[in-house]
Amino acid sequence: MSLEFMTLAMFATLIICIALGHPLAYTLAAVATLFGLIDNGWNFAGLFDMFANNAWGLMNNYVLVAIPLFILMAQLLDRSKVADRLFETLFVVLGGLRGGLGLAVVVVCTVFAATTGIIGASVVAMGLLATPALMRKGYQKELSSGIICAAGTLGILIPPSIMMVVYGGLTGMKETSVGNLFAGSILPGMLLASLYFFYIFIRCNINPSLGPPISREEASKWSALQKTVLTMKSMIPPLALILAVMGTILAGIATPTEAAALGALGALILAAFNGKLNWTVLKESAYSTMKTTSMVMMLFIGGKFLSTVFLFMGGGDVVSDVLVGSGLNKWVVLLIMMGIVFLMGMFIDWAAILLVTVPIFMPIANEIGFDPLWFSILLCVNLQTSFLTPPFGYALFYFKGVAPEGYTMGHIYRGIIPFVLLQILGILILVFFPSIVTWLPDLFFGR
Amino acid sequence: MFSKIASGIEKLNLTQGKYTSMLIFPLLFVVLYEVFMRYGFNSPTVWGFEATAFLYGMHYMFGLAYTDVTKGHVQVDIFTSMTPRKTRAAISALTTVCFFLPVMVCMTIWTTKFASYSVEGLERNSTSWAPAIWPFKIVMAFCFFILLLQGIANLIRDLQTVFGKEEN
Repeated sequence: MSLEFMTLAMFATLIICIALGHPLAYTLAAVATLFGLIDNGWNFAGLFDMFANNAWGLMNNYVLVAIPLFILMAQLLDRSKVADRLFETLFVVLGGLRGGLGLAVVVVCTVFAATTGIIGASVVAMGLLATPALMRKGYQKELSSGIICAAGTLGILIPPSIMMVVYGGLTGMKETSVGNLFAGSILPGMLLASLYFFYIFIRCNINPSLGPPISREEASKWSALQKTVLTMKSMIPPLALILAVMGTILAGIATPTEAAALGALGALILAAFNGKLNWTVLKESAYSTMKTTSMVMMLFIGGKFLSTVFLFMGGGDVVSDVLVGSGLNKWVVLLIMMGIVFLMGMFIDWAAILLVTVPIFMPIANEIGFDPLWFSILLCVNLQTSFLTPPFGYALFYFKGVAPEGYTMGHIYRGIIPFVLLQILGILILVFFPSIVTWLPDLFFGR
Repeated sequence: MFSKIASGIEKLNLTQGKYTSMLIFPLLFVVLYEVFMRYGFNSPTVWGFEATAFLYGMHYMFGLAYTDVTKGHVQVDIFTSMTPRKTRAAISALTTVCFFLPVMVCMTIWTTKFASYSVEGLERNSTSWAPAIWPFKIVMAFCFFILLLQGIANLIRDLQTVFGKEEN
């Protein structure tokens, strides 16, 4: 069988098998096994010796140690209710504006994005916290679902994010070290957050019935001074935590793994201050941490098997021949790669996409001379859409799971479209102004 | 009888997961201790780095089966969730037999071989601390084994649904 045929067959099989609803990670491993065996003439020992080595290699990957620690930090923060406090404050502070509650959601998510790094948690938390308030104040259902799903997914982009740790651990390149990726994703994350912010603001000013302000009495419940004090009080603890985590990484004092441990310690202290530190909280945080970590790591195992087999049989060369060898303009190649990631995002989740595409696309990006860091961040911003694009946006399902009665999938699907367009706009801005990505890493690490 | 096997396996994995998930705390402690010693006292430990990796590796490896029994592994069930319950169980049983079992049986066999070579030579890491690594290779093989068991339990449950013989 020709190599081109094998490559195509492998991806076709993958898509069909995924659609059968078996857990993704096992499916990746199974397809890897099938094609690995076809490729090496059914030499079981050869293939599985390689897989056993792969699995052992992952157990010794120091970069990935940051994953469980960041997840633990997120779990502890989630249970210490710091986000709830911030939202309650911003409800009053921003609520008087048209679309003000939507803006409050974006701010809370941006602040907590930086402290959570897994989307499930932030979409569920914000869905439970903010949707009842938005609904009571008569916000349009489409707009509210869009706001919560889109803002809730910022957590995966704004550092410290699990996605960047996975990415860094996957490439193992110096240019795309976790520190560089963290530094590079700060401004793009802010960019997306401000796009959401201004979109909501402008849209609600044009048509106030979409997001009416809260009543005057409610908004003037506190004096301006009280508002400032309360905002500070609820903003400072999480911001201090971000500074501790990001600051130590950017200053080059701590590795991301060490910073993650400091962050988890900080979250423990914060929980203790809020009187939420007890055995139940610790136990439940540990259970959820293990579940999320092992879910990501099983995908890592399956994805590693698949990319090993794929590169071993020479599939990487096939793809790069088609994309680079055919003399296409490099921007067209970029468009194709981004398009593939976007399409995959409609069906599978970010970790699987990263694990399958990065080993194939990174060498191509290098070959045609894109800055590896810039390309990586572009890919990660693009992956934001994978949470939101129908039919399979995970954020949409998380949100549906916690949304009050009366929110249908129809509302959610319609509501998310403008935000997906904003994300595409964000990607375009990064393409035209690459220094948004590269400026901070250059500044801190002098690449 | 099959129900007993399935619930026995599920109970085993739930229980081991509840204990092994606590590994996150020693992991946190070791990383913090290392940071503290290096930056506070300028005397990094020789064992911190490797101890970290061992704890992290065991943590998620034990978690694989726990995550499976608690249905935590992501799956694309958009198409299958529209089918009736029995059809869904039949597809699930089929995919378990075709995808899961062959891979996990082989992984269990080869990681066991991998571990047994290591045990024969009482393998150590070639670093200054030189810890024994064969116990961790045994853990790896064991974790693939309990994940395989969990898959068998899932298969039993699915088949019982298909043939309408559900017991609790």
